[in-house]
Amino acid sequence: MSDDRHIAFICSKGNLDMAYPALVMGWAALGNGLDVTIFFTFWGLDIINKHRIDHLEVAPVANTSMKMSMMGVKDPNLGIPNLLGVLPGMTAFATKLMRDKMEELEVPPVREYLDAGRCRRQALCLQDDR
Amino acid sequence: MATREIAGATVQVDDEGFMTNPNEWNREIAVEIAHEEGIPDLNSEHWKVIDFCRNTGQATGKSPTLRQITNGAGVTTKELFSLFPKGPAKKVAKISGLGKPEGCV
Repeated sequence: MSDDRHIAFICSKGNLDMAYPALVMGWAALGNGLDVTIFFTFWGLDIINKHRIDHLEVAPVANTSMKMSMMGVKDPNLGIPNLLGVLPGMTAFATKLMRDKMEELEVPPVREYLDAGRCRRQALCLQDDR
Repeated sequence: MATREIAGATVQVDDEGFMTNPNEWNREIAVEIAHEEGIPDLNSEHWKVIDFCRNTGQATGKSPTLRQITNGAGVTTKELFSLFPKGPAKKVAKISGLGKPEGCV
């Protein structure tokens, strides 16, 4: 397989769940020798904003895949009512649920992916200097 | 299944050149594959990573992911990318005689 393959991703959303697709695929591509470019635009800029990167959130309102089962309720189809989702603190609550789940599954935090990408760039620069 | 000769031994490989039987691997083979992958000399840091991958491969039957390597072998991501430039996950797996890495993190 040639080594000159290149892949680009566009991140235009700043929700916690929307940060991961490009980062996970980009990281896998990087490990396999592809050049990776990620273009951040609109709300996606939150992912590289130093104030926001560690505080990305996910909102339960109008998110049809977020179910009560995340909180231990047995029925897999029972949703979090939108009316409940608008209460103060619900976004923080949903975010915490998701973060806990990701930690359990050993999913790296967003910052770690971006630091790793930066490491790779620095490593390349070091080689160029040689 | 294709076979090829590396460092005087005949080994089974897949169509991307990954060895399919980790038991056929030895250190001379690693040195030669590393050459082909553009790494002229394997130093002790390289071997630290390769040995870790061999152990993981033996225990799990799979190539470790980049994150498992950095956590387990005690090298930073930056070091890993400078030891095995351009695609460390893939290169380490190939040099260690393990299959192509399947994990994505």
